[in-house]
Amino acid sequence: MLHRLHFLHIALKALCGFFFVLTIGSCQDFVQGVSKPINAINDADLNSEAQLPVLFSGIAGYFGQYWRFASMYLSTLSDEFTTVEGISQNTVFPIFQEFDKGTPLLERTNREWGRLGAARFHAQDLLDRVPSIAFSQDSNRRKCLFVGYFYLALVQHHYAAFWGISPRRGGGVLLGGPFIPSSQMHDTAVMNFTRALEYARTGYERRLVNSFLARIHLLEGRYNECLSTAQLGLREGDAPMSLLYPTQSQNIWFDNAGVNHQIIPAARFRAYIDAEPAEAGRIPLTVGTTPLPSRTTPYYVQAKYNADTSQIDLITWQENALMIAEMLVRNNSPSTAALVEVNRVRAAVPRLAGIPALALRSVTNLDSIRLERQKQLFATGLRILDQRRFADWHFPPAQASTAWHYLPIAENERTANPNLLPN
Amino acid sequence: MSYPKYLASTTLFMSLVFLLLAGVSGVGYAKTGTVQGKVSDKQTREGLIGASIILTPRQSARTNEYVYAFEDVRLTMPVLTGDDQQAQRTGAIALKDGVFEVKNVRAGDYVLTVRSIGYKNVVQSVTVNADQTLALEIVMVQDIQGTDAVVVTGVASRRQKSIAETAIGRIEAVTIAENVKFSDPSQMLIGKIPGVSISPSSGAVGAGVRISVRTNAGLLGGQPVIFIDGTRLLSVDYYKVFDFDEISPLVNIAADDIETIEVLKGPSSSCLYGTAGQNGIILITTKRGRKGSSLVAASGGAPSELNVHYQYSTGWQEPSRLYTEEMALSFESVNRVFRRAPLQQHYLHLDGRVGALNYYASLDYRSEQGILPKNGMERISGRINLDIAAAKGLTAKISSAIMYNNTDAAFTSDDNGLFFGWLRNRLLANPMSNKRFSLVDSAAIVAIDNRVTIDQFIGSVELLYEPLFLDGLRLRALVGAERNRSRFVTYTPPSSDPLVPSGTRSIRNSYARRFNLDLSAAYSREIVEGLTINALVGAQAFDNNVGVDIASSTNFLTPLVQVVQSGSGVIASEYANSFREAGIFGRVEINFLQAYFFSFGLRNDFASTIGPKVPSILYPQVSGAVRLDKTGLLPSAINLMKLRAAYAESGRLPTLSQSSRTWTLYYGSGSSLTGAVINQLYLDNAGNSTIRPERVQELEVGMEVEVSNVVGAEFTYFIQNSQDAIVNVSTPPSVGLGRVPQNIGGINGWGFESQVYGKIINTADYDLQLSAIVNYTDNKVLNIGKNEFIPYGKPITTNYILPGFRRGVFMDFMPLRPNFLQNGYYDWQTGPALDTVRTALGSTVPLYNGSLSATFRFLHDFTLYAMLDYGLGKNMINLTRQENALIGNDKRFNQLLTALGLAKGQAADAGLEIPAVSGVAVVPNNSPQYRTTAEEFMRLDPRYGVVANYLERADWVRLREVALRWNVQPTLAALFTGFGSAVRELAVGISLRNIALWTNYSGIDTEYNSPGNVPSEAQAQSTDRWVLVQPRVVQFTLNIGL
Repeated sequence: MLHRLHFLHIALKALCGFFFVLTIGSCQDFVQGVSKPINAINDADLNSEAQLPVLFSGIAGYFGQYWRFASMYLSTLSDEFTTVEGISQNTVFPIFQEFDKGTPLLERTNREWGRLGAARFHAQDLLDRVPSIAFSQDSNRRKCLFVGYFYLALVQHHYAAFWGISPRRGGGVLLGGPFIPSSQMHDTAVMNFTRALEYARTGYERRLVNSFLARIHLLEGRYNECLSTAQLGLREGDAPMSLLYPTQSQNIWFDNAGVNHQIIPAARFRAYIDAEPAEAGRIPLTVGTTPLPSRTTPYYVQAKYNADTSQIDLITWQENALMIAEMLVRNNSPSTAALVEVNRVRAAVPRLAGIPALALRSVTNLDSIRLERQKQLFATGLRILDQRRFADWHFPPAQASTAWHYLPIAENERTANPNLLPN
Repeated sequence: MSYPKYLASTTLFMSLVFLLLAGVSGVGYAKTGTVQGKVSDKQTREGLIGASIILTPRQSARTNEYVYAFEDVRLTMPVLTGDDQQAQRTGAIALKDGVFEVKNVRAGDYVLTVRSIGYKNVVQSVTVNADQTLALEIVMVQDIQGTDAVVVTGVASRRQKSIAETAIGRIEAVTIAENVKFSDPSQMLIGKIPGVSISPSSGAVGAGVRISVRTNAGLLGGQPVIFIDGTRLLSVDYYKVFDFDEISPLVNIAADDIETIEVLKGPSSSCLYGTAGQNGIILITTKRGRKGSSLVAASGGAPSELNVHYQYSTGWQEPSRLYTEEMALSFESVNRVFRRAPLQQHYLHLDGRVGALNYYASLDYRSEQGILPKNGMERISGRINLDIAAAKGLTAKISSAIMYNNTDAAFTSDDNGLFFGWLRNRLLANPMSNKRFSLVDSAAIVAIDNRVTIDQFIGSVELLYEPLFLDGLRLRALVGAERNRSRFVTYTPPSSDPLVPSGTRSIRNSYARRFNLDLSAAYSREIVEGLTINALVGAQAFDNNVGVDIASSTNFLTPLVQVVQSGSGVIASEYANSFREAGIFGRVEINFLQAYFFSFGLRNDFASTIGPKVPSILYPQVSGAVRLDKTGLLPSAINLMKLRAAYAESGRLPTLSQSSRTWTLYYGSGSSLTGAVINQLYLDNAGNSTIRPERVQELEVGMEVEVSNVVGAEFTYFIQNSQDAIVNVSTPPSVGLGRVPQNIGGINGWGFESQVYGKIINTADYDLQLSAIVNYTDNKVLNIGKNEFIPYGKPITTNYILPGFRRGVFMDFMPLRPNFLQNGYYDWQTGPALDTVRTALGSTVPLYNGSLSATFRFLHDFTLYAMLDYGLGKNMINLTRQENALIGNDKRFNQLLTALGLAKGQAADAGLEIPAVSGVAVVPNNSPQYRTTAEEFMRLDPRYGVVANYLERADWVRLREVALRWNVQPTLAALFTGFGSAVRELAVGISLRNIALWTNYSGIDTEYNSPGNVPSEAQAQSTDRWVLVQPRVVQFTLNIGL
């Protein structure tokens, strides 16, 4: 009996030890056997050719979310749009008032700055994944690299062109690093656009990249490079590069600058149409519907984005043509060549029923091209680039010295980035 | 879902258990004797019905001191005779008049242990001879503080509280519920256990609670995890319903079903529960079929009998306080909304034994209306608990309850800027102002449906095996499961009132499926004379699955059709979350001479992640205690003096996605270059592959002393420290990662908990027992890394986690001085000059809390009980008053406004359209008095320095519970009921809760923690924003036992 008990004793102790060791592995397996969440994607699961559209969507989506607001703020900051206080019954949001006066609070751009940073992150993330994705076709790999470098460059171009650390000092920040002035940031953008060119698969992609390069050179005053790249850029008939908005993620211009009349176009745009009705083909306006009862004269709001799904063109062949025209004029080339480009743009303006087509120009010069750009680039957020290029500011004297010429780099960046010393 | 290895190990374990069972065979014949006698109270000489008499063979008495858990069940079981001739453990329950008889006791030397709730254990040696009867007279001394009660001291560990090495909280719910009626178990805990504080989230029926144990060790705080009969619940509520008052996770549990509630107060005690034990563990044990006068003794073999107990309660609820003119000028309007609301409850339980089966079954129905219209609850629950002597040495405990709850959630206010909640609607109605914050017609509010229905099941199966062939070995396996479904529907019919959203409907269906598994093996052995070692190993696993589906729409044309799809703008969303935790543990407990105790243990915890890496952490635990009274160094009058110390660690494991990067899809936009999309990829969690679990350390030292079994005290001092707390650190937006989890946070916590108690009168007909609890808790955040503030809760409150301050400190820019216009009047437009840096203004958690209680039994059969609890050093932000001031609904604000000439039509009319208060003189501008008045007015400015101006001290003392009970003598009971001697119990009583509140706070109530059930946020939320005052509950109770 004692012998039996002793045996059982040893056996039970061995059992407990065995159970203890076995359970460690079981615990690990048990906790990892949890139901896969239906609302989250495991990072590694994106390393698949089948998920490329998903990866692309993150980049384009963040950029689109950024630009739908940023373009509107830039148009308000410029002399293109203004707030409507005193005209409409609608209460104007302070943010628009601030941009209109050139005095936005730093916190106003937190959202857009964050989304632009997210777009950059997604583009870099795509590039980082390329070695981990098994491509069935090399063209898919090239597309990945093209989209990645293209958007990387596009984000950097936007940092350089539209953002600033102080009212007069343009530039951006990469990866929580120090402030990078516009020209330096644009150099990086050119480098990445050039890489994108290496992986472009179609002529359209190459022309698209060249148009952006041309714009960068234009802004940096490198007119020869601007002309040479613009001549390789988008040409008549090429589709614009557009940001596409579904109803669930609407083009906010339609609401804020349309239905709600937070901002309205400067009065001169209506005057352009009054002078030449065919201009309405590229400056679509409509009568505001909520005037103050005391107001007898109508006011006008933009109708370019007449639905919440209206696309926003990021760059067009028309902009490219006008860059060529400007460069030709600046190079003292025969004005006829520039005129051809200007008239090519004018001839393509959509014709409105019952209204004669837009008249073609017989002469052109820098001033007329500047005006042509204002009309052609109406409500795209690009007007401020020309104001800055031509030092053509509209702020009243009291605000002129302090008004922002850029979107201010957001407060969130300034507080979270130790490398960003205040200027 | 697959967990093959896990299943394999479980199956293997269970198979081995049953193999062991099967290995025991053979039936023999043994020589036996009988032990019989009477158990009585030393003071009253009355027999103690229900006392348990345990006979343990002398040679294994020491090794069995750890096995009380099993005796509780087995005592009432028929003994299945083993095959050898040795003495074996057996016992009985004392019956009427305390008489007991243990038959068929194998001849031998035994240690006799007699235990009865509320009495000190009696332990003595006896010898049982074959074919003889041993007669005993057992006299028991009252155990006024339950120091001899067996308490849970950790996972799979139980022992007497008097030899526990850590501070364990325990309440005998049965005893407490005899006096006071509770709606659910959370109310029972208030003021009962040192170191534990309970805060209701609202005065609404079924409202949530926040349970705080010590300082809630981790950086983000949290609430203890709750187990009911071994089934693990979540501390986080699963019925959280948008912005409305929350519903307690314990709301469905019938308080009358509870036997005991035990609290492991921190890592020192709960270390071996692993991460779940970071903020303490609450163990709720329901009643089982083993009590009562007619239960038969285990070895008696008498016919089966049945206990029946019925309880009827009726009463009402009413506001414990009413609004006064000082709180709001519209006080009469809001007071008119309150009502005296009826409640009633029927509770029936029966217990008994059939063969090898002990059973307990209950039905509970409670109908309770709230003090606001359309707030009420109807609850039905049924419980069956079974104990089965399945085989030799094997018992099975089955616990199960099904519950149905239908609650009309209180509609106090909403946080969407609308005005149709009861309190907000009335409090913003200013009778003095021409400004029309108009009242919504009550009919429009009444028409709103805001209802949650809940179906819930909680159950567990526990197998306990003590092989007869190896004394001291215990194997235990438990599977617990909880399932619940809730459906929350809010419907607002079409309304012409512009302030009420017209025709909206939202549905929130949620489910929870949880299961937990506990396995343990323990072995006790007396190594040498007086030195006993108990070793245990075990494993725990927890699987949690919850999900929510939400749908809503608006603009219904008619209330005749209410389905969501008939409205416009249908929005649907769903959410699901699953996680698992598992851990293994081992512990060695050493007992030397019943005077020196030492334990050490380890727990390794694992948690689910997305991705391949399994975060795990090892938690150590060590503790010791000395019973000085057992060393012979102290006078014999000191019947208990124990010094104890414990150190342990716990922690918080990373969440499912904190250790790896995850992405999700949401609405988005596309481009012509990459294609049109409806939704786009978003970075959901940046993740951090190097993240480690937060580690929490706790050191506690304490002592317990009791003199002459009459007066006593316990005191525990603790220090807690959190390191490597996981903080989501903001990265610069240009990085694009958002917040990234990092191990950089830390917090220190410290405090003490103490209790003094005594039974200063103790006679047959009168006794008086007093108790006082004082708790102190404080903490200081050490580090949150480079981060912005971590604001708690909703943006409207501005309390923060900041290094150098208490967790959840309120901060604000202080108003420094008023600005004046050139003409000397107060410059309302500019407002006061504010400080440029924030000032720390105090935390919302009281520094001190505790209770005083007294139980007075008089004329033998009457018991009067009273308890008041208190909190000192608490702050509340009175946003109700702030909003009232802005619309002229605050008396003092209006007076000052008038005195400063800022009222409507006065010299410096501020444009608030608040009329001047008649009888208040305008103070001459530019005078010193004007400046003084302006400074007072500045501190009521509702626009600037809102927290600075409206954060108030909210110390409180509340007369929480008062009860009177009459236990009718059996002879009278027989007379009253007509049931004759079949009546075992007849008692009537009156119970009152929330009787009175004394506070220095200017608002209606100090108890409000919204959202009450969310562990971290609730810690710091004390925002009075249309608080619903706690109800005064009056209940009359009739108890009949047959």
